[in-house]
Amino acid sequence: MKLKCDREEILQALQMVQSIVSSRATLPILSNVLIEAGDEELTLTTTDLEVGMRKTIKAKVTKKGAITLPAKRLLAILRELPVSEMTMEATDQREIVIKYDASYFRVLGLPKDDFPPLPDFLKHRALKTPQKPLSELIRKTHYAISTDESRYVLNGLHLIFSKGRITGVATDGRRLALCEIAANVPEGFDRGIIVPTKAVNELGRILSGDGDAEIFVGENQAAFSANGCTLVARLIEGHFPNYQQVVPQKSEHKLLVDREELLAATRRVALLTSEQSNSIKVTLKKNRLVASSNTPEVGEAREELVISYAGEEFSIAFNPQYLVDALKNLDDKEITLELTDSLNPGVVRSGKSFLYVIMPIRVS
Amino acid sequence: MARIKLLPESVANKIAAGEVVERPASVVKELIENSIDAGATEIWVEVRKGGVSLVRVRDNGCGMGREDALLALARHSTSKISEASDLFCIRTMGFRGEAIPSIAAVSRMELTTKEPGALSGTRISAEGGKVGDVRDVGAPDGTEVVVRDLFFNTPVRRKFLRSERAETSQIASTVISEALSMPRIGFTLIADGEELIKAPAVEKSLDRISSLLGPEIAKGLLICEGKRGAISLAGFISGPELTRGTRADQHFFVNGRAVQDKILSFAIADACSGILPAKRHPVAFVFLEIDPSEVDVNVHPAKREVRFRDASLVRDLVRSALSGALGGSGMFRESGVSPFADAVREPEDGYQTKGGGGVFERAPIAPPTVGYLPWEGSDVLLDEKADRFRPIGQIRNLYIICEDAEGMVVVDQHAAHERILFEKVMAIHEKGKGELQSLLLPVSVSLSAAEAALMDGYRETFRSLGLGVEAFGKNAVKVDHLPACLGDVNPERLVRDVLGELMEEGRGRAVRDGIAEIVARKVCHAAVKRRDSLNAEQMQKLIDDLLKCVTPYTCPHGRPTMFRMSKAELDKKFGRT
Repeated sequence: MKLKCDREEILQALQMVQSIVSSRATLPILSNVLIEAGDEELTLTTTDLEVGMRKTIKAKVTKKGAITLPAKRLLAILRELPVSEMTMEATDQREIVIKYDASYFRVLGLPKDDFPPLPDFLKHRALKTPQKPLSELIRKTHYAISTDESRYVLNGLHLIFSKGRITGVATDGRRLALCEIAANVPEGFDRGIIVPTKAVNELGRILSGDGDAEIFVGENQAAFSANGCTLVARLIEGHFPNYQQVVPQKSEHKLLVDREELLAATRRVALLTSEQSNSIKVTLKKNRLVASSNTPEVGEAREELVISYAGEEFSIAFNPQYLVDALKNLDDKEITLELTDSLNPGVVRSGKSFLYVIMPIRVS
Repeated sequence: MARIKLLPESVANKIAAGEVVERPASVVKELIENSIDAGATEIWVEVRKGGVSLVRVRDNGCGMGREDALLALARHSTSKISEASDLFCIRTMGFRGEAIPSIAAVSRMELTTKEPGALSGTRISAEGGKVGDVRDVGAPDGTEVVVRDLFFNTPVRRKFLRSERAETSQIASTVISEALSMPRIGFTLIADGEELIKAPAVEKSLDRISSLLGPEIAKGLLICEGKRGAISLAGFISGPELTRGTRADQHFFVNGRAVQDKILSFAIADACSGILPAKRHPVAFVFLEIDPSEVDVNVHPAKREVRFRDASLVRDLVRSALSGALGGSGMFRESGVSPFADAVREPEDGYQTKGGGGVFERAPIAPPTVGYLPWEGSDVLLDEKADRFRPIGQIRNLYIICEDAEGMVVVDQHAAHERILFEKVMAIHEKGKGELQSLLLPVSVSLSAAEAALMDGYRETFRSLGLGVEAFGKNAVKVDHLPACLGDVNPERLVRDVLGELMEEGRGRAVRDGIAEIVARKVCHAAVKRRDSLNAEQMQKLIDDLLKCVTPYTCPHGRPTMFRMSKAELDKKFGRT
C-alpha cells in the first residue's frame, strides 16, 4: 500500500469514525482503524462490533493495499503534523511509514485480516430521504431513550417505515417522544426496527447538510449512509412496547404556550428542586400557567405565564427534566400543552409531526 | 444404678424427626419423594395453614399391602435398600427408612394405600407415632398420606416455625424443586383451597420450567450439555439479560434429586465471572446424571446435600458446560444477532458494565495493611465533621481520598452514596410521603408460585415505600409507579430483587421494618452510580451528605464506607518514626 493524501481530509475522516472506538476494547483489533487504499480513494473503517463506521475520501493511490492502525494514536499524529500533505506506505502487513519532508513516523498495526468485516449492504434496497428531517427526527426523540441497560428494547430508537413516512419513537417508560417525517418509502420497505443508542448518537453526527441519506435494512442490522460516511448498526431484537396505547386519545384542556417562555420558566423553577424532591408543579388558573417548586430545606420558586385558559383551576406535577428535554429540542415558537387532571398523562405537541407524552408525578 | 439407658423408641423417633422433619416443607418433600419412588405419574399435594394444620400427599403409585403399610411406620423399615452395600449405589429418592415414622412421631397421621389389583385398601391411623386404628377401606390405587397437627407434641419446634405465609412459600419452593426434577410426573399444589401449582406431566425439562416459572424465564435460557467419564450434565443457564440478585433460582439435581451444593454454586459463579455483572446470579437448572457409586447421598438426614467422590471433576464439568453455553457463538441477545459474529467471537463485548481490564485495572494495589476503624461512638468526630474532611481526589472512580486533621481518610463513594440514599428512602417511608413517578405502561412481573405467595402479604409494604405493585392475574404483579427519586431503573428487576432477598432473608425478621429495609436497600442500590468520576464539588457534597447521616460509617449492607490512616501510621510506613 502506498498513497499520498491531504492531511486535513484524512484527519476529518478519522475524527468522524474514531468516536466509536472504545478506549477499553477487549480485543486489541477493535482499537484500530482499518485503512484500505483502492482506486484513487482511501477508506477508513472502525467498529466496536455493535456499530461500525466507514468513511471514504480521495487519495492519490500508487499501490493498493490495507492495514489496521491504532486509531487514537494515528489521530494524535495527524493532528500534530505541520504539513498539508503526506505519504503513507505500508512496509509489511503490520507496519506503515508516514512521511513528510525529511521526517517520518513508523507506526505498528495489525494485519487487516483480523479486522471484523462490516456486512455488505449494497445488495439491499435503499430508502432515500433528505438528511435534514431525519436529523431533526433524531434530535427531537433521542433524549427519551432509556438508559437502563436491563430493559434492552428501550435502549434504542424505534424507527417505523410505512407508506409515505418514517416515525421515530423513544421512551424510558416515564415519557415518550414521537416524531414523524414525510419520506418516500419504497414498496415492501415497511417495517419497524430498534436502533441502539450508540448508533443513534453516531447517526446524529453524520447527518449534516441538505443532501439525501440512504437507509438500508437487513435482517439484524441496518446501515445509514450520508456524506460519504456509512454507519452500520446491529439492531436490537425484540418488540418495542405498543406506544400507540399510551398516547391519550383525548385531553380536557389544550393550551397554546410560548415554548421558550415555558422552557425558561421550567429551568428556573427547577433550580429549587432537589434529588429527592425532583418535581415541579404546573397549575392552571384563569389565563395563567403557574410553574412552581417547593422543596423542604431548599426553598420555593414560582413563575407565571400568561395563557388563554378558562377552565377549573388544577395542578399537575412533572419531573422538570422531562419537560426541558422536549422543549429545548423543538423549534416552533408555540407548542400545545394538553392536560386533563393531575393524574392523567400530559402531552406536548409541536406542529403535526411531534408528540410527547409525560407521566405525572404523584405525591403520596 | 445404671445411669445410661437405651432410649425408648418413641423418644428415638422424635429425635430422628428433629433431623428429618424440620418444618412442614420437609414433610412435603419426604412424602413426595416416597411417591416418586412408588412410581407415581401424578402427585397431588394439599396443605392448610402453612402445612401445620394439614399436609395431604396423594399419588397413583404402586401402593402397599396391609403388612407393608404397617411396617412402613416402623423406624428404619424400607423397601428401597436391604443391605449396607446398597447404600453405595442408591437409585431411589429415599433409603433411610426414617421419613414415615419420623413424621408420624410428631403428628396425627393417616395413611391410606392400595395396590393396583387388590380388592381393598388399608387405612392406618397413628398419633404421635403410636399406631391406632387399622382397617380395610375402599380407596383408589396408590397411597395417600394425611398429616395433621404437625408438631402437636413438640411445642418448641412449633414455636420455631415462621409465619403461615412463609411456610406456604417454602412448601411451594419444595414442590417446584421436586417438580423440576421429575418433568414426567404431574404435580399439583393446593394451599388453603387455592391451586398454587399445576404442572401437567411433560416430556422435556424446559416445558416443565416454563410451566412452573413462566415462559419468559424458559425463553431466556441457554442449553448446556457436557460429559466427563461417568458423569453427564444437561441443563439450562440464563444469559446476561436474565439475572437475579440472589442464587434462589439456581437449581441442582443429582440423579433426579434436588440438592444444594456449594461446589456447584461456585462452579456456576466461575462460569459466569466476566460475563455477568458482579453480584448478579444467573437462573440455572443443572441436572447431573452420575453413577450412584460415585456420589454419597447419605450425608444429610433430609438428603439436601450430597458428596461427590471426585468433586473437582464435577466442578470442571459444570463450569465448562455452562461457560460453553454462555460463551457459545452469538450468545448475546440471542443467537446470530451480531453481524460481526463470524469474524470475532467476543461475548463480553456487548456488555459495557464490566470494566474491560486495561493494564491499570490489574495493577496490584498495595494490600490493605490497615484495618478500618469502626469509629464506634466517636462523638468527637461527629461534632466537628464536615469542614474537616477535605477531598483530595479519586482513585479509579471508586474511592475518594480525603485529608483531615488526623491524617488520611478513604471513602468508598458507592457505599457512601448508598448510605445517603438509604437514609433518605427510609425517611420517606417513615413519613409515609414521597413523590411517585407513574409509568407510561405498567410493567408486569410474572412470579413463581412461591414468590406470589410471599408477595401477597407484602404488597402494602411495597406500596408504602412507593413501589406501586398490584396483583395482576394469579402469578404476576403489575408495577405502575416507582419512587420518583430513582430515575431510570428497571421496575421488573427491582421488584424481583426485593422478592429474591425476601425469600432468602425473610425468616424471623420483624416483618414490616425488615421488609422496609430490604426494599429501601434495593431501591437505593438500584439508584447508586458506581464508577462516576466526580469533580471537587461533587466529592465535597457526597462527603457532607454522608456525614449528615445517622450512621455514616457503614453502608446499608454493613460494609464500611470509610477508613482512616492516621498521620502516625503514614509516618511509620515511610520509616519516619
